Amino acid sequence: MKKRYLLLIPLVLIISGVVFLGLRHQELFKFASAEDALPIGVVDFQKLLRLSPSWDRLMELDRKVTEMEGVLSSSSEGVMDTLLGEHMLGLKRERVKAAGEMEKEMLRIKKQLEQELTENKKQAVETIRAIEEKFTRMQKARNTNSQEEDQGGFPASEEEIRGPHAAEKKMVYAEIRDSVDDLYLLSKRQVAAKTLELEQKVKARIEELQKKQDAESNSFEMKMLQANQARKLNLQLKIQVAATTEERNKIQDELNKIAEDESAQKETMVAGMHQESERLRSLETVALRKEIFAFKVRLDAELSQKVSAIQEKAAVKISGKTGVPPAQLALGNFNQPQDLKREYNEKMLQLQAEQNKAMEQAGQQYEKKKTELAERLKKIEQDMFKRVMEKRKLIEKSQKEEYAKKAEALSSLKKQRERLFLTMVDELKGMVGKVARKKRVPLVLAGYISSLDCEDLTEISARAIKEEKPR
Amino acid sequence: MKKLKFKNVMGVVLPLLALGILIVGIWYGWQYFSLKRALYCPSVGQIDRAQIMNLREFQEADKALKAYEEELQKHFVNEARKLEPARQTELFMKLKEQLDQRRVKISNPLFQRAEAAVAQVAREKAMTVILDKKIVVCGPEDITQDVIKKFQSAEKLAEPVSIPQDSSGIGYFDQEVIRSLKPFLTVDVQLVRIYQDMEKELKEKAGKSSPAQREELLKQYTERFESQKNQMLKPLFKKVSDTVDKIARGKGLKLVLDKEEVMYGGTNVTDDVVKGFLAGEDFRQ
Repeated sequence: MKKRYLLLIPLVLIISGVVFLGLRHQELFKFASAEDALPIGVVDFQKLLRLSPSWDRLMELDRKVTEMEGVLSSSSEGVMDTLLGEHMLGLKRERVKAAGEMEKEMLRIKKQLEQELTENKKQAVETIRAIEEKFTRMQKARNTNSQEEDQGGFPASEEEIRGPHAAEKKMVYAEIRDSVDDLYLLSKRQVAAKTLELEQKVKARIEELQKKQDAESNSFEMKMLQANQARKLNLQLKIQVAATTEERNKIQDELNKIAEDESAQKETMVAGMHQESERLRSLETVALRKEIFAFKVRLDAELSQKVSAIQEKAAVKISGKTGVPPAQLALGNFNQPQDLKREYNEKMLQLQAEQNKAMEQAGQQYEKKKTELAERLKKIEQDMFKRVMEKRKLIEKSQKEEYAKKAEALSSLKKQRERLFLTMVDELKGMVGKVARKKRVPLVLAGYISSLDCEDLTEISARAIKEEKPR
Repeated sequence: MKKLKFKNVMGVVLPLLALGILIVGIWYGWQYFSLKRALYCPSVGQIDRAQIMNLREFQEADKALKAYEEELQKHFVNEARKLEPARQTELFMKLKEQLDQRRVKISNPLFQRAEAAVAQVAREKAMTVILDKKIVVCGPEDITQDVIKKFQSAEKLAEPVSIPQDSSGIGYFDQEVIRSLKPFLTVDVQLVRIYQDMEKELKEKAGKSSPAQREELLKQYTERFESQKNQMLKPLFKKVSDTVDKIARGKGLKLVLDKEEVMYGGTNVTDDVVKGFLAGEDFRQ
């Protein structure tokens, strides 16, 4: 029986030990049931992190991540920009060269056309001079004939008048000539004045058209800018926040396309206006010449009537002095010969028409050549754009693989860093937890604004970390 | 007979006693090991806010808002080209207001439900304060999964009407409210002017220097600006800190946190801090 009790003793001792531990545990957490006292601990977690045995490794990983990010960003932007920049520089040089050559060619064509026109003009002037000379010669020939015959025809000069009533005739001739000369002078002035007036009118009309065109051009440009403003603004904002170079380049291309469209639209508008202005100038010039010619014809007719009237008056005067009837006086015709004049005028008109046609043709030829060259330049630019795009694709392709490798390495580094950081945090939390349990602090926080009655466990935790470190 | 009785009694009592002690020991032993990982403070809990924000419901709300934002952006681009610049701004403001309204309509119910779920779990677990996990080093129970379960359940959740009296000694205040007070705004305006002046000065100097010198200049100016900023803001922050300490002491608080870090419960001292901060102070610079 005694033996049975003795066997119970170790059992009772073991149970008592367990109870003791349990009670100690209850003692340890006695605040758990006391609502009025919750000890709070605080720690500077950043400081503890720096003391962690893995801190140097974390820093090393951070450095590698930053380095790799730098490499990636430069490989996605810098290298692409450099390679593309070099390529574009070469293409730009080509374009400048082509544009320079075209400009030179345009200048050469312009010069050539101007020369041709000058040549035409020279020929026209020479033709006019030849007609005028012919006209003068014919006038003189008529004068000579009338003097010899003394019968009708063109009047002889007063010095050459001889025969019966020569003195009276001479006096009247002088009067007639003075009056006729005055009339011709007046007629010339009238023509000059009319020409000036008409030219000013034409100039005003062309200036008015140019003003209108300028206003239209400005308005068109404003409307075009306004229409694209929101889109451009939106794209510019997008470019600021674009995540990848590819995306940024895509947006930049869109922006460039808008700018190109704007420029093309403006160029078309200006070219149209220039053409319209030239067309009007040409029409106005033709109309001006026609009007001047009509005015001259009308004036000539009036002049002819006036000269005839003066002549009749003179005949009556001489008849009064000499007693010879006016019909038998044969004073001749002071008017310029109508047939010659008609020929002269017709020739002038024809020459003017030819001159106009030549000018128009030269203008058309110039415009045609200009359009041709502009097309060529446009083609070069399009070709350049295509080549840039191809080059970009090539660079992208060659870099894509390398970039993907680096991106993968970066991602792996980041994951490694994250894992290490989380492990460090867990380890530190575990250590702080141990310290907190020893100090009977059930709640430990990191990050606060004001701590008044909290126990700062930073130093004691730091010591614990340092003690564990060599292990 | 007497001897036999004693023996019989001991034979029954001792095993019973041993069994009782064993049960108590196992109970405390279990409690010890189960609480080894988490220190025992039943009135405080913690939540992983990031996990809540990543829930499908919040992600879908975000997606819907983004789609609506894109729709408004397209509308703006189409309409703005027909309008004068002044009208464009008007339109922009109008659309921004629409977006804000939609945000309130979509997101607010979710936030309210999340708050209600937190409150309900806290009540069920008799917790008076719930903190954001990111500031907790050790101690409180993590109730994130309970909150998620509650949030995603079909149960109708009532918004917390009143929060039980908290004896944890944890207070909080809204730092954003303090930063929007006039003394801080005045300093902000002055800092913007200083920044602009420095920027102008830097541009002038940088124009004549080499890239390396420019880098050095930029570094110098950044340091100068930061030093100026600290110098101007330091007295204000100190004043805030002193006020918070004073108020916390008056209210018997042990710790004051930022509002963002307290998800439920705690003592809000924002109004008191604002009043204390502004009371009888001359913030003229």
